Amino acid sequence: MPDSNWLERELARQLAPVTAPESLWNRIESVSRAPRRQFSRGWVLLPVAASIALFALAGAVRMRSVTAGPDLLREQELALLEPPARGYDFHAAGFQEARAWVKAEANIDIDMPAGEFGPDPAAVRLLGARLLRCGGLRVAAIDYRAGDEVATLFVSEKRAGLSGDTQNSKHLFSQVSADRDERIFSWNMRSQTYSIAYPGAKSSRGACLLCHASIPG
Amino acid sequence: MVLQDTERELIDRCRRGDPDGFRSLFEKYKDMVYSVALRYSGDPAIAQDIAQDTFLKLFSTVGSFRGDSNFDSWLYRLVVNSCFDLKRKTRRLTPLLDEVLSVLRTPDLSALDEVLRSELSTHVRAVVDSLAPDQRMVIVLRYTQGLSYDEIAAILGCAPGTIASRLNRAHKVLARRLSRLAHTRRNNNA
Repeated sequence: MPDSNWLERELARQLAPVTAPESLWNRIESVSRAPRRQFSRGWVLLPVAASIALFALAGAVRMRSVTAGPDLLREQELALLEPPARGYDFHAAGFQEARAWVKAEANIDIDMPAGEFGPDPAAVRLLGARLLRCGGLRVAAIDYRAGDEVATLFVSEKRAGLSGDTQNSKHLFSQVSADRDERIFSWNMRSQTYSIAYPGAKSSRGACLLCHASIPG
Repeated sequence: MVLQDTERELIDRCRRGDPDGFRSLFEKYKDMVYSVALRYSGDPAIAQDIAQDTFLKLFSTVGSFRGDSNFDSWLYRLVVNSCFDLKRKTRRLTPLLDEVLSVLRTPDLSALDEVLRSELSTHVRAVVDSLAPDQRMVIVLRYTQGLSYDEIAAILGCAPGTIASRLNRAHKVLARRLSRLAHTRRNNNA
């Protein structure tokens, strides 16, 4: 036991077709009407909430108020970066592999903090990488699953004159914004813009796990 | 005829951008797509993600569908790819097995076979979850959708012999893991 007939009967019973939930159409319709990563301009985090998020995100970092300066990947642009129907350009088994592919294909560097060698496979799973054009700018998008959430890291190619640009790995967040179910963090570092879109409603810690093995706070 | 008239009409309406056409196509296939997604992922939230992804892909690419191939197979390929892209959460087999084994060690149960069958039935789902993705997908297409080897082979892009082999391996894995539970149970009740 179990004999094959029993097993086949059980499989047929337990894997029987089900009815789709009524809410599925509304969900699809809302996504197809409005980009998933669109968020309200007015729903910029209040200073206290932003501070909490930032401390949770990376520890001792500084934050500025939101300004839609020309050097940022603005929300309309981010909305264009939704995963396309065609899928990923590159299916990566690991982050280092994805970084190497992005570098080889688009000459875009994705910097890692000193002493970090990639995410813990138990905490983060790479889904794939894409190369996009956003307002004439080349952008690499890395999709990954952290816990229950699928996040996307966007990294632009290098360009001059970015505000708050730093040459070290500290993140000077130039944009922190959120709506009901998505948060976007942006910072400029080594002449590139980095943005993370993360749907975690309760905590944003998972967003950091792609590059940071441990997050203070 | 590969494409039935009603399907052809629906697809033509979608090509013309008719919103009612999209809705009708959704209504026609929603249970099939969601069933595959749920039985593959084992998680309703992930299944909805997969179904959403599949329909968005369908709506954006239906214009490129050529009526000379089987629409069902084409749609199955979309949902299968979405399943493989949006894979399920971390595997839960190990803790589940521990839990199962602890239940099976409980000494005060009688009517061994009956209880054992009940326990095994309860955990068939968990053991299916532990299969490799390609084996699990074959199991889902076979038992959820009742597809033939040839149909599964067309969807997954491999030979019918490969499907038979995967299904056979999956059956053996399932039987072995469930037998192990049964054996443990017997020993603990002897």
